[in-house]
Amino acid sequence: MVTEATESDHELVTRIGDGDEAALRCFYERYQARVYRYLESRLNDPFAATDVLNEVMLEIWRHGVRFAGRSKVSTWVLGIARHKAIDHMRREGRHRGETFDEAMPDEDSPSASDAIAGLQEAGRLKRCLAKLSEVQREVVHLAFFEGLSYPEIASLAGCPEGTVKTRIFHAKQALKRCLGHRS
Amino acid sequence: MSERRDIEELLPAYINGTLDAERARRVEAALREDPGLAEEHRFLAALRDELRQDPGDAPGEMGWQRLRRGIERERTAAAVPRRDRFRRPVAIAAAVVIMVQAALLWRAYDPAGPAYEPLEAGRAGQIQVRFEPRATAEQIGALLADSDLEIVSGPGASGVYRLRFTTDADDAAIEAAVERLAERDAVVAHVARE
Repeated sequence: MVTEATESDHELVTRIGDGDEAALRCFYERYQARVYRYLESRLNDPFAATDVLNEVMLEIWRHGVRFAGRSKVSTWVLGIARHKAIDHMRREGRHRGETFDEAMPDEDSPSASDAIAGLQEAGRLKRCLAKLSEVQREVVHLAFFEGLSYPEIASLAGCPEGTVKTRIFHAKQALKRCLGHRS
Repeated sequence: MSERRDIEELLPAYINGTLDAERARRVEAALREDPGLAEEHRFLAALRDELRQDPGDAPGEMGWQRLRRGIERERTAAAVPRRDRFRRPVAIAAAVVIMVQAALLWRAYDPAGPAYEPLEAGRAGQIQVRFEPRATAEQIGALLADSDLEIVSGPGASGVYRLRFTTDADDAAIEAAVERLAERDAVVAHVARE
């Protein structure tokens, strides 16, 4: 017997498109933590992430019928979350384009072993992630938390694959410097 | 670009298992030969593990209840006849502004002093504004107080209020106030100089 717990994401979205609130509930339970984590990485603000999560789920409720099935549901959902996050940042006057970080020169190469030690310190990683630019936090989240490939990240972020690699590289260097820093 | 930099850029994809077989073999060969790269690999793997361990603070059941309330509000709004959808927000906005006016009058009231002046219909305004139907009395009151503005008349048939400064204001001050009000789009639906 097919229950909501065993239904595929695609089947759930189809039922949501038909106005099935039970399907939306199941979908929410499946995706809320994941979408929230992405929004928190992007917005760097747990309250804003909660607000935008609600907007994302409402959007899925209203327009689930539009999902054409050409991509994975997870990619579609993260795409909606990305647009909603950008809308939120524009309303807040925070979205300033996505290229300023590419010009930042790297300093000397920080030590990976010091950075690994820094990861063990409670809360350190969160503080260091908060210091990255929003686009760097986004690619770090999509690569390491979501486990997306470079082409998938590039498609979601609307930028070339080379840009994704460069952003991850700079983000990694910045994280190493921050995590390895001893005051 | 150097081979080492190339391999470094491939490490995240190698760690999350999304690299194709040929490039994965290149990375593995480089990791065997270069201890520095091997250390980079260990750092990125530790970073991934740490990110995935963090449970986060997703809203859970509270978020679901909020979502349900939002859906219910939309259902209710969709059930209201179209012609009534405009009247209700304007009526609410009118009621809110009456409360705000009363609050501002009460604060200004000083029976012993000469400062008290009742609002009169028809006094010259400097700015016209329509408030968002969902703006609260607190938001409107705070906005007017912050901007040294008071309501002189309204709402008109289209929900427009006329405002004026409580202090002297030249052209530049009026323009600046119009810009500030326009930025507060959660409270102000429309603003213009008279």
